[in-house]
Amino acid sequence: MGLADDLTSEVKTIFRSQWTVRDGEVVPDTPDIKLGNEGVTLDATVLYADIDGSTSMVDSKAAQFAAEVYKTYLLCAARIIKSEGGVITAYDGDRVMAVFIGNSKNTSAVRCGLKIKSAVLEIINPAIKQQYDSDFELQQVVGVDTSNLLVARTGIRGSNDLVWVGSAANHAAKLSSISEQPYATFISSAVYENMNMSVKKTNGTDMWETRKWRGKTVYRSSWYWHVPN
Amino acid sequence: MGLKEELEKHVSAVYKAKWDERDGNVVPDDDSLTLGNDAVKLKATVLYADLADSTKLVDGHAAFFAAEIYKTFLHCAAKIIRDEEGDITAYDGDRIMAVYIGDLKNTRAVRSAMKIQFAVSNIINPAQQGIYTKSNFTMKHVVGVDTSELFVAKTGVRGANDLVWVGRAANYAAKLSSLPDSCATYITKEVYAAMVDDLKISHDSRAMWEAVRWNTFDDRIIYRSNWWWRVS
Repeated sequence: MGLADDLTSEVKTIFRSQWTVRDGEVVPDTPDIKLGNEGVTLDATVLYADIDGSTSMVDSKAAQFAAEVYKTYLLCAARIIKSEGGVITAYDGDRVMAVFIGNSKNTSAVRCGLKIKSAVLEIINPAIKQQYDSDFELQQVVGVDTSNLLVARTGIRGSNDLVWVGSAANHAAKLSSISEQPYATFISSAVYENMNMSVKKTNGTDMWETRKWRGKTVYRSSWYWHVPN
Repeated sequence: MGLKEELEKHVSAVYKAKWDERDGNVVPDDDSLTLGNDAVKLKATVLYADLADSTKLVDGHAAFFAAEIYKTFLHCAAKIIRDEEGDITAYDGDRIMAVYIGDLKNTRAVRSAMKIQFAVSNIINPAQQGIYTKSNFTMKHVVGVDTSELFVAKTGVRGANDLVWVGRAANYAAKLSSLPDSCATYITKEVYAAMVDDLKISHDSRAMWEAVRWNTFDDRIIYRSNWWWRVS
């Protein structure tokens, strides 16, 4: 069978097959879902953390330096996500996707965004300064949204082969590409409404302001939350 | 040790460590690199294939339908890339990244892009509209291709697939794949110059590519096309 016949038959099978869908209680991993049209649904909060200005960094700095910046950013983001109970679900070059579930998913994801900002300001940028005496400052953006997600296998490779379908996955990715420094955390109104007061205000001061985005109200913040010592 | 202290230690170790670099002649996977500042350098062509308007798809259709659209797109793109001996190096939701090295890397990457256009137009959309007869949805996608030297290192973020690809081609190909879906394929001048003439001129002697300025970036000349290459 040639490639064209092979693709045609697989495509028709995907469009024709009935779905088997179950509710998920944990963030699924690739082996948890069968190939074919099996799906898991979850109420989840999605976080995307993305380096802002990576193209100009790569164009203007040595590859070794850019690689160090990527590595340190991804490492800090990943560790902070895990410490807040999030699961890293995809990782693509300069951005990380994470999923949070459970009762405090919005609060945890937002605190995670604020802590990543703190890691950049208080850990990564000082280390760059110290090692290279450089004025380069890493900037990044975290986007957070919440919705129901349908998780399915794509079948394109062995591991990490899930597709996350739901508005939170798309909107969080798009929010993380807004470049409006020093605002580094952008969240949907659904996330804002459901998160705990501790991540809304500090000593009575609101840490968030509204902004219109694609006809919707979203919230942005330039605040950060210290990573615990 | 608190989290902050742990991160400070890791971060400063990364900036202080010397790089151990070698030239690569295969696309590395994460077993071929060690943690720490170990890197492979490659001359490579990068392809990003991105489903267009996925936000509208997800907001306007049932989740299972959107999932079928993602699955069919990713499935066809992945099979075509492998058939052209590209390596799928990252996969994130609705887009796929692939790396081509060696002889004819630009030709193989661009031919993959043109075959993906064939699959979307002649396999996926007809099948979808044949089965969902009331559907008014038509899949659109964009592929971006660029070529450069790449510097590949391990990030340590997770066990598998945790490489970082540093180089112009990785950034430009991703950016090109988010250009308007009025064209299915966007490639840089360097890719155009290096690919074989078969991909430039059709059998009936028409130019398959149009040179335009990349006006949302730095106005450099890029090439775009809606032509497909038949998958047989």
